[in-house]
Amino acid sequence: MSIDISQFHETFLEEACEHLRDFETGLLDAETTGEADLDSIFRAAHSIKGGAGTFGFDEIANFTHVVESVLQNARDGILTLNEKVVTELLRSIDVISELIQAAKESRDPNIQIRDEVYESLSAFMGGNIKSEDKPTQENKPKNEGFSLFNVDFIPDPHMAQTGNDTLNIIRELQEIATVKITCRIDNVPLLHEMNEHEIYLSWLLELETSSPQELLEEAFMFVEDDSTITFTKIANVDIEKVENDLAEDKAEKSKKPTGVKQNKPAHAAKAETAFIRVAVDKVDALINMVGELVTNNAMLELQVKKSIDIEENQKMLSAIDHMNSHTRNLQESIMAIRMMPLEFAFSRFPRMVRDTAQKLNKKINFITNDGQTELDRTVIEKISDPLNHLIRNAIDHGIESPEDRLAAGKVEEGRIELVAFYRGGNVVIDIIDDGKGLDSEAIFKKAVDKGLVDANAHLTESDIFKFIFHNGFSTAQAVTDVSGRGVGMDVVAKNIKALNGSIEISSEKGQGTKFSISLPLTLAIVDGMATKVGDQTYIIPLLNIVESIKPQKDKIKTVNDNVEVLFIRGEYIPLLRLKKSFTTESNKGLTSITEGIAIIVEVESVKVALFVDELLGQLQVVIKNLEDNYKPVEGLSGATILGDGTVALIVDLQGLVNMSQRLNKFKLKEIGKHHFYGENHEVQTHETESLIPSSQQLQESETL
Amino acid sequence: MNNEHQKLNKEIELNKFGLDDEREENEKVKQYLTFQVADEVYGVDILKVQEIRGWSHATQMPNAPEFIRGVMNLRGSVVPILDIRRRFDMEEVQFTPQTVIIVVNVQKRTIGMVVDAVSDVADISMDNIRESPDFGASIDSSFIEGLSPQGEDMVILINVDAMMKGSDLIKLDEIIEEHEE
Repeated sequence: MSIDISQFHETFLEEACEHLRDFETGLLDAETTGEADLDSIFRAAHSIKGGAGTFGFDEIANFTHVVESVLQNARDGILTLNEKVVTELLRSIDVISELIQAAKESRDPNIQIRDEVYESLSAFMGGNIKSEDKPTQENKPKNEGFSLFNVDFIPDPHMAQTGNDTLNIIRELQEIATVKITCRIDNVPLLHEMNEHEIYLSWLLELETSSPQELLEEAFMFVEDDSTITFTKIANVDIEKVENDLAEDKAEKSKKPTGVKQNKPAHAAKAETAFIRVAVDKVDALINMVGELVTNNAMLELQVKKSIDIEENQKMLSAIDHMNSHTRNLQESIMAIRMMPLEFAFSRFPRMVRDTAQKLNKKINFITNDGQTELDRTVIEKISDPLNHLIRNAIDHGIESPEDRLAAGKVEEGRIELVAFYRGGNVVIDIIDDGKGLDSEAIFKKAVDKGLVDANAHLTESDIFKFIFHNGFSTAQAVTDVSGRGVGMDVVAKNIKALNGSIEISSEKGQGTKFSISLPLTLAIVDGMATKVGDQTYIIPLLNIVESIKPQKDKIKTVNDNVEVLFIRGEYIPLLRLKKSFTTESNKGLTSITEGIAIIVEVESVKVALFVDELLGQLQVVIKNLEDNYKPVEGLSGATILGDGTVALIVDLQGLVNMSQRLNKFKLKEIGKHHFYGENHEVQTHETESLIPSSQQLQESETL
Repeated sequence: MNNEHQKLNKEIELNKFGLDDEREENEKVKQYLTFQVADEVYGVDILKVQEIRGWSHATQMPNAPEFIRGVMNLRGSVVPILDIRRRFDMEEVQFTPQTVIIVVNVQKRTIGMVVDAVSDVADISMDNIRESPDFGASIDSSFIEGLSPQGEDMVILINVDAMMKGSDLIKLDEIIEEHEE
């Protein structure tokens, strides 16, 4: 019987990566809680070893064997999992993942670290690892008694097709037990009826062993789903002792499931939330198609309602309504396929925090919430690096050294929290540390030194904090291995902006800092306000809209005769006429300011008023790329197809602001920041009240 | 879409589909979709043509060159529409029911061209293509592949790739460079 097992290689390597993640999480848990679920760690390592052996990845199998041996000793209580051991075990994860990576790319792995780690792991073992010998249970001092088991092993006929071989199982058992084998052949059919791919044999194994049942069951780990295995304990020499051991074990780890038996329900639960691997472009094609379906549906509805007598065709209309709601549900479900729990991004941080903290001699308690908040996978992929950077920064600059913390009257151990939650249509990720906080004075001074701001400027604290997102801006006293080079924060801000997200900083000196990142759930859909300018429809992202007002003529002033500003509640906001910014051939659209609507939007804490003819209403639109067939257009982030089949353009507010700033050669930001506190400072709710400012810079608009 | 368009679209499809066999037999004959702009007859390689469709409202693109009429929804794709008359600096006319958009595929992009009317699918022998004379600087002849007599008419064969390249639709890299300056 020959099966090409190379087809399983990729699956094995993927699985091995997952096991490695479990392994890592387990180790880190063990370190923080001081209570290790060694069984699950061991199982992860064992699965990697077993799989690697089966599929001929000897390098991985041999190395993992050593790791497994160390874990075995830890499990047997011979070795304590102190910091040193955990560090080496964590490094061994790097080595294994390097080996896996190398196998994936069919290249030679980097063996230098492997050998180093191998050395130190061997040292923990007292150097006595034999290449393929599993440390036998005779070493185990606790367990002096031995038991007799009868194992009835009936493989499913198709078991061999999963690449499992009974002989391997028996060999594994022989390492820990004396095995007497009886093979049953009653089910073997006549030769011509035989299917070469199926197993007709079953075995009765009599085992004499000093190992607990769990260990024996482990030998069947890979076949438990494809066979019927019945363990029967025949006799137990020194029964009491063994049972005491088991009871102790259970008491110690009462919270965590131990052994194979208790894990069975967990296995079952895992099977229910099974995953399939699907290529992303397939999902994207599906999303696109459903988007079309939604549009077509809307068009159909529109046409039907136009052309039929509504009174007489109630049934047809209700059918269309149903179809509508089904397509929308379909769209939502398909969008959900792209969603992944944030855990995928979060899971790599505990390790990074541990290593970085160790390098910097800091003590850090890293807390994440469950990470079950879901986000579009593209967003998750792109947010990992910025998060990584912010956490590193928090460790390096935020959290003080243990001595400083004690001196400041804080607990020795710093605390970094990574929390994700839904807020509105967004996912918010907070990175909170209880370190020394940002020094707004130092930042301001640095900003002045760098010529970013005038020394006399009055800025709010949150505005000052934003300077740290400038390129080359670092307030760290010394450049360290970890951070302080001043590159990175600008990249963080850029990456977040590219995801249509925003970042806010709040910090109190001496108390800590909080970075709050707000991200849209998906990049494929945006909530927008449809607006009309002449015969064009523009979609403005709802997220940025502060309010919409009907401007009064006397609230519009000009600066330098070319920039219009809208005066609202003591604030001058630059006014952009979409008709001017987006010149089109027909060039239609209102000119008279009192007839249209000003939509006040906030982009990176700059407020701008957009002047449009009218508001058409809120809608959720699927973003279509303009670059696919055309070219990028400044001020537009894409296009979408409306219910009537026509194309509407989606405004990129940041781009629009940049464009206008450039065209006007005028920093809109500076006007936006200029607050007017005149005599009429009291909140002006009635727009009719005269609020003409006395500033010389501003003159009554004559263009209106 | 009117019947005539449907008929032509089928023909385009058939021609493209059956092309391989015919090409093997006679490499010297190419199929062109011919169309009218003013009194002139133009032709494009049928392999570049995706379909034809009637003119309908296009959403104007802000700050776009004049010959870009705007963008249209073509079964879910947002497709730019280029006006051939404007591209060739010809006199403008009112759009009529005959006005048609030829949707072409150029370097992975889908682009529509507005022309006065489509005529037919013509087999043009490579032997029967004359080189285009040098028009001098006044007309951009770089996107004219050649001229071919067809009965009474002269078909101007245009190279859509070259034309789109000259339309700053394709010259993405250069546009980006310009921006950076």
